[in-house]
Order: sequence, then C-alpha cells, then structure tokens
Amino acid sequence: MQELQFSYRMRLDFSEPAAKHQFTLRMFPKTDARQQIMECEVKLEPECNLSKGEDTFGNRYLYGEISQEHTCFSVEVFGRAAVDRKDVFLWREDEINRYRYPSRYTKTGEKLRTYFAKVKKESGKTGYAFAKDLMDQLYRDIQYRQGVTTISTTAEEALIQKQGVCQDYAHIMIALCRLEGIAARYVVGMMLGEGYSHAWVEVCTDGVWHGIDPTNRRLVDENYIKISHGRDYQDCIVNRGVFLGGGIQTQTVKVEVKQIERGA
Amino acid sequence: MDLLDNAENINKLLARYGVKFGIYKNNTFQEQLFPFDAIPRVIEKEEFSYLEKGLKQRVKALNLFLKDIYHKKRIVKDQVIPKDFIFASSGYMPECEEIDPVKDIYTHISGIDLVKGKDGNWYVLEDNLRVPSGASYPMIARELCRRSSPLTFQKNQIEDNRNYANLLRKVLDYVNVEGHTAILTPGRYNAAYFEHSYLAEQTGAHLVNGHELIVEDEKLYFVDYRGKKERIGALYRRISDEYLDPMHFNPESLIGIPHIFDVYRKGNVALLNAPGNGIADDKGIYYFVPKMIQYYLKEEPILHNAPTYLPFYKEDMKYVLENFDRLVLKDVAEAGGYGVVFGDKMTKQQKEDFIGLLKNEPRRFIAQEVIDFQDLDIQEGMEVVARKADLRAFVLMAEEPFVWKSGLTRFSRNPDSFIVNSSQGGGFKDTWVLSH
Repeated sequence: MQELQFSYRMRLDFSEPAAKHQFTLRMFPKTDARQQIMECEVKLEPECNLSKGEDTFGNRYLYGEISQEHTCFSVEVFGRAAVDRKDVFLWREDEINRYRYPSRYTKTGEKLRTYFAKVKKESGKTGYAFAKDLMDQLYRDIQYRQGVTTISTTAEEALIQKQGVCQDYAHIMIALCRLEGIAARYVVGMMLGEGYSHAWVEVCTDGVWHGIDPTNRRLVDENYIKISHGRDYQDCIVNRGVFLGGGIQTQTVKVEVKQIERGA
Repeated sequence: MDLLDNAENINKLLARYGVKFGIYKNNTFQEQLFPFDAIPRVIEKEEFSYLEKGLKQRVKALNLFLKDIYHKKRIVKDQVIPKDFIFASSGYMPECEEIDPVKDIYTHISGIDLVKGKDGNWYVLEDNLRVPSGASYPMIARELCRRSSPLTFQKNQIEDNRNYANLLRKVLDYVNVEGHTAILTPGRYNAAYFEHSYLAEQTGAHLVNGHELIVEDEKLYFVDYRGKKERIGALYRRISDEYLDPMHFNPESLIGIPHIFDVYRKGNVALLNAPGNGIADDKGIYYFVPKMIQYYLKEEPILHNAPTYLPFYKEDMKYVLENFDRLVLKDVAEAGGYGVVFGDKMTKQQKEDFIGLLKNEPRRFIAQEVIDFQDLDIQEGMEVVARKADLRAFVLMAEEPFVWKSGLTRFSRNPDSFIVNSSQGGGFKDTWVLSH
C-alpha cells in the first residue's frame, strides 16, 4: 500500500464570454476495496451552487449552472489516497451484464473480428490469461500517437489506423475482451507522475475485476487512482458542458500524483 | 357518398393545416404531405372489442416487463428471455436501472401495429413504446370529414375519435407530480411537428422546445417569453432518449434539457414515455411478448404475433435457411421500415452475403412468415384500387390501460409493397369503429 497525493486541474478558457453554463463533472475518486480516499476537496471558479448525483455505474458527479458571464471555468480536485495493489471483488453478479456487449465505441466490425481471431489463435488462452495476452499484443501492434484520433474515434477505427492514445487502446481492448465473452469496462483515472488524466481497462473474470493498462503494458497497481468507470468513454466524460456564447474554447488539464513520504 | 366527393377538398384542407410528414434522408430534409384517403377502414364493434382486450393485455405485460428489466430481472433469471436479448440490445439503458417512474407507468402511450390477414386473423407486427406518432392524423381528418359531410356521421353509428385529446390529458394529469403539463418538441423540422402542435393545442398543454425548459433546485421549469417560471410536473417529450439530456446521454444534443434526467430520477417530474422503453419494442424482444403475457399475467395471449423465428436458436436458424425465400428478415436495430428484406426479392449474391451476415450475427435478425394481409380499397383518381394497409392502435395508460376507439390506418401507395410506413411515403385513412 502507498499513500498518494493527487490534484486534478481542469481549466476552460473562452475567447468570448460564456453564460448559462451548465456542467456535470465526473472527476471524484471514490473509496473502494483497492483505494481509500482519505481527503478530497473541490475548488470551482466562478463559484456556484452545486448538486450531487451518483450514476448507475456508481460514479459520483457534481452538477450546476453558472448563469453570469465568464471567460474562464476552472475546477480543481485535490486530496489524498491510500492505494493497494489488490483487485476488486465483484459484489453483484448481474452488474457485469452491461459490460459484456458492444457499446457505442466498441461495436465490432470486420477489422476487430479478424484481429480477434488472429490473437485468439496465437494465444490459445482464456479468461484473465487471454486478456493479458491481448494487452501484450496491443502494445506491440498499436503505436502511441497523439492527434491521429479524436474523442469520437471508435475501437474499429482506431484499430484500422493502428495508432492512438490511451482512450483508443482501452476501447480496442474492451471490444476484443467482449468478443471473447469477458466483461470489460472503461476506466478513467490518474497515474503517478505529472501529465494528463489516463484511461485503462478493467476485466472481470472469476468474480474479480482486474485492472489492465494496455497503453503502458502494465497491470494496474498502487500507482493508479481510479476516478470513474463505464461501458466506454461516453459514460466517463470528465466534464460535460452546455453554454451560450463562449466563442472558441480551450481546455487545459493538469494532473499531478505524488507519493507521500512516510513520516513527512 | 358525399364524403368521397369531398376527398380532394379534405386533402387541400389538411395541407393548409400543415398535416405533413417530414422525411430526413441522405442528409436532406423533405416535407411531404401525408396523403389522406377518404374511404375509411371500418371495424365492427365486436371485432374491435376483441382487439381492445388483446391490446390492453399486451400493454399491461409490456409495462410489467419494463419494470422488471430495470429492477429485479426475474424474467431473465427464470430463463424466459435469454440475457443476450436484453443486455446486447441498444434499447436497454443501464442508466434507467432502479429508477421508479411515477406510479410505475412506463408505457403511457403505446402504438401497436397490427395487420389483418386474409385468414381473417389479426397479427401484431410491432410494438412502439418510445414516441409513437400518428394519432393526430385521424383526429384532424375526422374533424374535417365531419365538417364536409355531416350526414355520413349521422347515418352511421361511429365511435367519436375526437376524444383522444381528453384521454391523453387524463394520462398526463394522472402522472403529473405537481405543476403544469407540457409537450416537448425538437422543433418544426421534426417529422411529426404537426402532431406535436396539434396535440398541445387539443390537450391544453404548453408546446415547448428544449430552450424554454430549465432545471433549478432539482425541479423542471418552463420559462415563458417574459421570463416567468412555471413548474412542469409532466412532460410528454417527443424527442428520443438519446437526445433528452446532454449531461447524461449524447453530449452533443442541442434539443435536450441539461439535467432533466436528474430531475426525473428524483421523481420530480413525470416523463412520457419513460426513458429506457426501447428495450421493450426491440424487434428481438417482440418474439418474447406472448411469453411475457404468460409469465407476468398468467394468461394466454389474446392477440397473436406474426409467426416469428429467432436465428439465435439453432432449430430456428435451420428453419430460416431452409425456407429463406418465403420469409421476411428484419434487422432488430432498425426501425421505420428500414432494414427489412424479403427472401425472394434478393439476387443470388445478395442472398449469399446476407446468409453470411446472418450466421455471423444471428442475434441481429428475426425472420417472419410473410403475412398475406388484407387489401383495403383506396381511391386513386377516379378509380378504386386495392392496397396493403396496417393499423396502428393507440393504447394509453393511467390506472388501467385503455384503447382509443380509432387508430391510424396506413396504406402503401405502391401496389407491390407491403411496407406502409409513413416515412416510406405511404398514405393514411381514418379508422371507424362502429358503436352498435
């Protein structure tokens, strides 16, 4: 187990004033069997009234409206977490059904199907062992590259390009696991270090959710803090917003996760 | 009969009132008139009361099914419906899990499509439980027919169908949690805009678009042009689930209302119909509706489905392959007459490709016997010709389901076509239910 200090800063700059800005934020890590959130604070600017919600996937969100004109919207979430290496047990058998079939981003096309057949034949394994082989194979076949895919790229499209970012790795991995009949879900979270938010995958085999990070070819360990999960990207969008005006918007995200030295 | 002599006038009036049907295809929007044929479909009193019983039973079971699917899922646990058919369906929305709609009603307004076979039996072809449209067309047509030919309606004993607005109002009031009632339209470019405005006018509900509704303090409000706010307690929304709330569903929706789903989940507004209903009118689930009736109501189904096969089951797949040329195949993900192919209308190549697809994705298709349904007479110029027609019956639900004593009869204008959908350019008739 290790203790981590995290901060997630998101800032939206508008070239022209925006008003009637309604938003929903899903950026709050939650305590589960693997991670304990010991402290979590939110700072929002401009200030406004917030309502709380929890969606069907168990993610918590805050929502509200900034009615006055503003040119910047910023959210900071920071806190401390104690994170373990262990996997999370499934507590309700039927909750996995929603993660077993193709969703918007993970629809199976010809490319996914042939790729799946190839990997399956080479691996010859099933369950978690197969998922790990998938991770290895994807890491070899897909090139990490920013700017070639967008937030609306599907698993099929990304696989055809053989390039993409963590969102694409995760979608492809999920689509392939589901073809094998393994329940798989999309996870958004933070990783030790500085940078952007991250996306990975959880697969459920033998009643246990295992975290797998195909982008880094790494099993999820105590360096990962999970924020949300869902069927695919759309269920985990960190910031959804609708507003009037605003002109051109620029979003900046800065995530920082540090180890807390014992005794410090 | 002077009603028929007035057919042209009635069509002119319908055009003036804006009875149109917009079709959005290949990225262009075309609005076309929805041609009215003055020869009514007539249904005898006894025959209709049989339909009525069957329709009520069917909708009751569908409503119980929806509650079950979004809560305990007994019907899946008891293996009446394989779970693939629920969870792989695009109509199943996990977001609706554990939500209790006001008074447990999901199917406030159902449009059940039926045909009458040449064998004299009625068959249900489809259940439409999301936003079925069409009631307004026979309503206004009846109104105009009565005006142009009052004698016809004095001489014949016909159930008055102009009460649809009252029935709808009753349902809206029954589920209203507190406040006003409104009909939400995506706007005048929607295929059924005429209907939205007509129903609003007839029921006395506000006709609103997404921009006029706001969420505040976890409640829904209508803001009028002066900025005055009124609470909305029941919203008959004529937009699909996907566009309802950009904060929960399609983030790009511009016609939805941010956070309305939160208000709904807290029970602070009734939405008609309930979100998530798509699972019950999925073409794959259709096969199981008679089984639902037995399962939930412990009754034998009164109305029959068209004989349907699920290639998902091995023995059905075998049957489908052996009888391919006789059957009609439907893609479960499509609607509005799209994704429907007839086995005997395919070229050899098309057939081979299709069978390949079918074997790859057996759950994606259902196969049905082609029902040789009865023709109805329609006027074409000076002649009377026979064309295929179906009936969309409307079932509304308050304490109990009730059936509107009329319905939308749609016909195909193409003599060789069995597809009568308005989005495919068909016409409509009034439906007379006799009262004696």
